[in-house]
Amino acid sequence: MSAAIVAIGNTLIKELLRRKEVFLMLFLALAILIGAASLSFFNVDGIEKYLREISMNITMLFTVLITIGLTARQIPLEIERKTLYPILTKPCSRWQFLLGKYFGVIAAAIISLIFFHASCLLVFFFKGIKPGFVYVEAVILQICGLGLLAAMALFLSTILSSPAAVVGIGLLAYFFFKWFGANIELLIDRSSGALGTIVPLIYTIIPHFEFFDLSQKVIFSSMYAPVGILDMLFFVGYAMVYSTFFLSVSWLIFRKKQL
Amino acid sequence: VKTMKNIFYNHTRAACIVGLALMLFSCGLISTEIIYRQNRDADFSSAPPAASAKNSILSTVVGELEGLIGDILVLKADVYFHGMSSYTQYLNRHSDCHLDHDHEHHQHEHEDGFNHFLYNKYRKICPTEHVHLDDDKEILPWLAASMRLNPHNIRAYIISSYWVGQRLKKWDQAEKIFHEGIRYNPKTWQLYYELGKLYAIKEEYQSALVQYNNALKVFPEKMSEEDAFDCANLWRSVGGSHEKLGDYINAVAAYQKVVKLNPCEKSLEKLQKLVHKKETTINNQ
Repeated sequence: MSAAIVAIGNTLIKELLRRKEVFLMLFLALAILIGAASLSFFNVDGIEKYLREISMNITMLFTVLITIGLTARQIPLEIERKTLYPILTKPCSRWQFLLGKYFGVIAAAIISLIFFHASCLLVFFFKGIKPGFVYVEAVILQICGLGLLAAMALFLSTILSSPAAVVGIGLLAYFFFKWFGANIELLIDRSSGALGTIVPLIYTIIPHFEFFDLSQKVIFSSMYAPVGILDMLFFVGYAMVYSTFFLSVSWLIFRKKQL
Repeated sequence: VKTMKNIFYNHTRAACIVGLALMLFSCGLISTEIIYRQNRDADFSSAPPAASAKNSILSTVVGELEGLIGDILVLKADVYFHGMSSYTQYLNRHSDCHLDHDHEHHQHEHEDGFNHFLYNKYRKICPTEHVHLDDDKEILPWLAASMRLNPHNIRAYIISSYWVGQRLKKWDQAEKIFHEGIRYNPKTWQLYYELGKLYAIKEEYQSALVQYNNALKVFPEKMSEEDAFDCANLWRSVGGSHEKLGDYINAVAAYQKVVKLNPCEKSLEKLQKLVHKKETTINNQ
């Protein structure tokens, strides 16, 4: 990996730690988790699955917000503040700039994930909850999902000129695609005529963020077996292929973009 | 293409409007889903619509939404009970087999279901088999939250007390749940009836009769066919409690009402004869 990509990536990690958003979210997550862990329901002991669910959802939500927020700021703000020009005048091509930003965002997302999961595991430890092997699989898939999201957000930031629009449309697309993919059977059952042909087509084309959410298996780890190695490889491969597609399209747009 | 390019390049406001429209569309989809699910659970529709009776800060801020979230949490408990399996999606599509958890219907799911290589992969991380929770108590947090957010959700009280009382044998807690429900819904006969049934299980028949009578007092005067069936069940419970207390005269009277309300019940006529027989034996002695 070229030095330019690493240097650009490093600035993103520094930006993540400098802006303090991640620490604010971490504090909020811890407050919610400790509050939830201290609840009692009808004097019944040993209830834990709700805590697993809250942990998984909080981690997912906050890391998605951090990833998309961080990605959205990159290209539009670099253009607006004119800080892109000195970078591109150095020996750094546009694809290196794009890749540097992408890997930087992924590194920042992984750091945030580590922070959040460490908080969850701390609460689990005090409550005597054993996360199980599936938790490791869930974290791996979460990283892949965030990678795909970052690629999509980077693509959006090459066609939209404002970070707010990237965040808004990116979040909307993320939640809509996730909902659409998870509820496809219901949608197909209720669609008729031409819609019955279009819906499966849309399903094939859209990125499937629901593939990277193993919450169900983590919450009910005692009932379901972990995901097998072959399926894990499929999901990782899917994320890589789709991310490459988004990055390629982003590069095609960005290389011809009038700055 | 050029126009679209212009919109996305130069008109971020337009892009935001498109985003907002899509968000509204998503809200519409979600609300349709909620209404559909509420209709599915029409057996409890006699309860007032979702609204918070508590003067909490949350209810002041979010208003009716608090009650709506409360209703959704009952469904969440149901989803939890099925191990969050997408089997519940199947139940939404075929609501007629919800109550009996029909396994035969479930087999059709894989035959008729969406057959797509990506969705088949998704099934690996989101199983569709019909499973039940290995630890029943795990649904309680959602039911507790539901009762707190929507104190008019009768279903939440009944389900909670069933799990806490009959499954976890915490009778006092189950009783508390009903008393709280009655406090917020004093005119809902189901709560008195279920509380009476709880006392009957505990073999406190006198207390059970008090609650059954309370239920009868608030039972709707104009009865539909379904109400008549419910009322017959209520009178059957009254009869049962009288019978257990050895009060055969009142038991017979109650069973007569059952037969009157639900003439199809041949078994009750037999029971009526049996009670008469017992009464005659006691009188002869």
